[in-house]
Amino acid sequence: MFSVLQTGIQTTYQDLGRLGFRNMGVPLSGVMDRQMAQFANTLLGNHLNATVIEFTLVGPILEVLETVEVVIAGIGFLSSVGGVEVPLNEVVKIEKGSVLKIGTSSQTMRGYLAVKGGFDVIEILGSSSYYKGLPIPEIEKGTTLEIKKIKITQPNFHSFNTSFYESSDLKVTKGPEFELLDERLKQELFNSFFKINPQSNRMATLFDNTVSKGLKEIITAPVQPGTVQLTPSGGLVVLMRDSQATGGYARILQLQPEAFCLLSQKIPATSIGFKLI
Amino acid sequence: MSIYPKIKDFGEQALLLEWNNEISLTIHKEIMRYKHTIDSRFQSIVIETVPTYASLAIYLNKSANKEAFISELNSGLLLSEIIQKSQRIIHIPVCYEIEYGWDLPEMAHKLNIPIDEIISRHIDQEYPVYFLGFLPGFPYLGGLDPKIAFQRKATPRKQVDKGSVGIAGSQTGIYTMDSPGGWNIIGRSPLNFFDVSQENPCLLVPGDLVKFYKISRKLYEEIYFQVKNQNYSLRKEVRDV
Repeated sequence: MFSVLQTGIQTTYQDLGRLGFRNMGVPLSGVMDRQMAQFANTLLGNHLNATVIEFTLVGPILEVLETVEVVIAGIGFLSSVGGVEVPLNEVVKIEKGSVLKIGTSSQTMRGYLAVKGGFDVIEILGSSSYYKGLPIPEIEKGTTLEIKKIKITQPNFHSFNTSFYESSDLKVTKGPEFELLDERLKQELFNSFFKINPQSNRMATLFDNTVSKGLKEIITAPVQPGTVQLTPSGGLVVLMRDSQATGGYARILQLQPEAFCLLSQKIPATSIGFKLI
Repeated sequence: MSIYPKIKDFGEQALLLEWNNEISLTIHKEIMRYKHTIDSRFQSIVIETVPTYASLAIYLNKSANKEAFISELNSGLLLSEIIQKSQRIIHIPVCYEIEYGWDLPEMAHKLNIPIDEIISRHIDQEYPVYFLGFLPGFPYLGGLDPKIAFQRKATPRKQVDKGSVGIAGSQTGIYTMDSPGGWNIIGRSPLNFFDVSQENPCLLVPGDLVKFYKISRKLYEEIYFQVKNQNYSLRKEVRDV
């Protein structure tokens, strides 16, 4: 158990998401960087779908109410227990009564706190992932974070390749409206860098720059996390985990799953490019 | 008669079936037949299917063999007949006072139609629910009187209140929760359209018909509290088809 002293930024409960309800208009949600969250759960011997806490640029400060084993997964989030630095991406045992402080990262966007057993959070429509509009609790100052008391399988050693996050190439396949782009526009799309806008969030990643021409709106059609939309004014939008299940902009590209994890870790003002595979 | 859809790739474990790019009941019924067939026959490999006006997204699980699934679709899927003997008609109370129908004055001005006539044209139609999307339980309703079709707002509002009834182009719909949004708001319903404590969280489902009726502000408030205290009974009827 933990008590929340400071929440950090956009700190929410997440698991692998809410499957099977998109035809009701309920988004998938779930962790943005699946690779990293699954890595943390694997190290602890948790189920891959165990609930973790996702934080953004700044992590939470937590009072530890019960001795617990955790993994703080992330890059650059300087973390400490009782003022002593603790390693990221390893199992760390924290004694009752101490304070865990997860700091700030200037390298990647998101980090995860996983605990042995997983966080104990109510499931709504089969998932504990936070989504505004569903009664999953918010993490606020003073919130008590409960941990599931379940038997854990043998923890797995698992290495984590942090250099994966250094790339700025997002691998994509063609989206349903790709063929509506003319040759020049395709050239422009694959030979430009796009700078991530600070307004980006769990619903969508936006960019500062546009391409020279847009596409007309389509009649409302299915979209999914990783769908790259082109607006009529030439803006690009990449849909993220909390995006709606349907949308009205032309769907020109689709991110590969690893590219989605990579994009979810890119901080504002860094640039990415699209590589067709 | 069957209208064959085009099969398109939609990322690693997803496919799209696409029909003619139009809003029509014939296509809608065909999409629902495909959805029904795929949901029931391919349960072991399909996570979920999402219908819209003219396409159906099929999301496959990790272990599914996508190529084999595509060739099975290509070899001609024997469609299950949906034996729909009856259809629900759901009556939705709406208060069209300006207090709730924020955009009625602007629409009346630009369309050159009096507010009362916009309201009566909105009430006159029966609207089929094509699919749910945008927000949990948000129904996309077709069949709007073309005289009151109105372009989405150029800049979306930061907040549209739950229950707001809106018009976007030739569609009408209901905001099932507070949300930013660009639809033109013409009134508000006191009903709950999405409630996870119910066995079926969505009040409206594809295949239903919606009929709006006008209520006063006073009745709006009465129904609002009946809904809150869970003693409101929904006006619905069942019609043979």
